[in-house]
Amino acid sequence: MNHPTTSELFEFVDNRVGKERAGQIGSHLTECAHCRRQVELERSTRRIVQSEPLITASERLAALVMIHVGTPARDPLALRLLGKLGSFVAMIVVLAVVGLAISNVSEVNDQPNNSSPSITHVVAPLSEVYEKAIQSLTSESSSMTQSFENTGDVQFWKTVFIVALSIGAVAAADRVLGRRFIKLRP
Amino acid sequence: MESLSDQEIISRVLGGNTRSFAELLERHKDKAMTIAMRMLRNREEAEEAVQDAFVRAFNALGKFEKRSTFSTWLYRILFNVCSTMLSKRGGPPQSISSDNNEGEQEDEIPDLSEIPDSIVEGDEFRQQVVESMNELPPLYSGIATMFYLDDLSYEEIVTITGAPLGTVKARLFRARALLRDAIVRRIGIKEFAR
Repeated sequence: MNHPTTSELFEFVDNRVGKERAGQIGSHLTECAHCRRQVELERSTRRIVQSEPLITASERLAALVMIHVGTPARDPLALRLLGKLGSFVAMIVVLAVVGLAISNVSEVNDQPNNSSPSITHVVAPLSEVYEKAIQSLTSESSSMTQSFENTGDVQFWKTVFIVALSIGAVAAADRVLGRRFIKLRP
Repeated sequence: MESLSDQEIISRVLGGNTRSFAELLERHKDKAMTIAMRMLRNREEAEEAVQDAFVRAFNALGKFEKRSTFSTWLYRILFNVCSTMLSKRGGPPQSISSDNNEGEQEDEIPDLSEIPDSIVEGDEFRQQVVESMNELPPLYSGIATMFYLDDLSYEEIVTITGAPLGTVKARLFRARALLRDAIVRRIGIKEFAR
C-alpha cells in the first residue's frame, strides 16, 4: 500500500475517515514507521496543547468587563457571603478600635504625673462596657479570661486587634473597590 | 452557581440577573486569553481583545441562538476582534473567507521514522511544541489553538471563522503541517545532527 497522504493521516487522527479506509491506514501504520511517527507527532501535539497551562487573564480584565456591563464583578452568592463576613469583621473592628483606644488612654492615665483625671471619668463607663464585652465573648472559657487578667498580656491582644483591623481594612477596601482581595471561591 | 450550565446562566442574565455574567466570564476568560495571545502575541492587546469580546457578547446575548455552544459563539466574536486588530497592524490580509488558492497540497517531509521514541515523550519535546505553536502565523496559530484546545470539530471552526468548510479544512491542514514541520525542524536540528 502507498503511504496515506498527510491530509488523510490528519483525518485518521480526527476519526474522520470511513471505517474501511481507517482499517487500511491502521494496517499501514503497523508496517510504516514514518507514517506511524507522523500520527504520533500529531497526537502528542494535541495532548501537549491541551495540557499546557492556559494563559491567565488578569483580575483587572474581569473587573473592567463587569464595569462595562454595568455591574460589579461579583455574583450574588459571593455578595451574600461577603455581607455576612463583612458584618462579622466590622464587629471585630469596632471592638478592636475601642480596645486600642481604652488601652492607650489607660496607659496615659497610669503615668504618675498625669494631671487630667477627667479623662478617667469619661473612659470609665466605656471601659466597663468593653470589659463586659470581652468577658461575654470569653465566658465559655473562664480560664482563658483568668489567664488574660492574670498575665495582662496586653501586647498579645494588641497584636490580635491589629490583625483584626487589617482584615477589616481589606474587607472594606474589597467592598468599596469591587475587587477580589478576599477570594470566596476557588 | 457552579453546577449551572452556560445556557442556564445566560437565561439568568437575560432575565435581569446581570451579575451572573461574571460566572461566564470566569469560566471562559482564560481560554479566550490563550487564543487571543496566540493570535496577537501581545499581552496588552490580547487583554483588550478579550475584554472587547466579552462586552460585545454581553450586549448581543439576546441574539445568541442555541445552535452552538456559548464558547464557540464567544470565540467567533473574539476571532473577529483579533482579526480586525491584526488588520489594523497592516501586513498580509487576515481574512480567511476567500483563500481558495490554499489547497491541501502535500509537502515533502523528512523521514520521521528516524526520530526516537524518547524525543517525543520528554519535557524538551513539550517545550518545542509550545515554541513551534508560537512560530505559526497568527491566524494559523489561532485556528490550531482553538482546534486542539477545545477539541473543536471542523464545523465548529466554520462557525467561528465564518469561512466555508473547504477553506477551513485547507487552513487547518496548513496549520498542522506547518506546526509539524516546525517541530521536526527543531528536533531535527538538535537530534539528527548528532
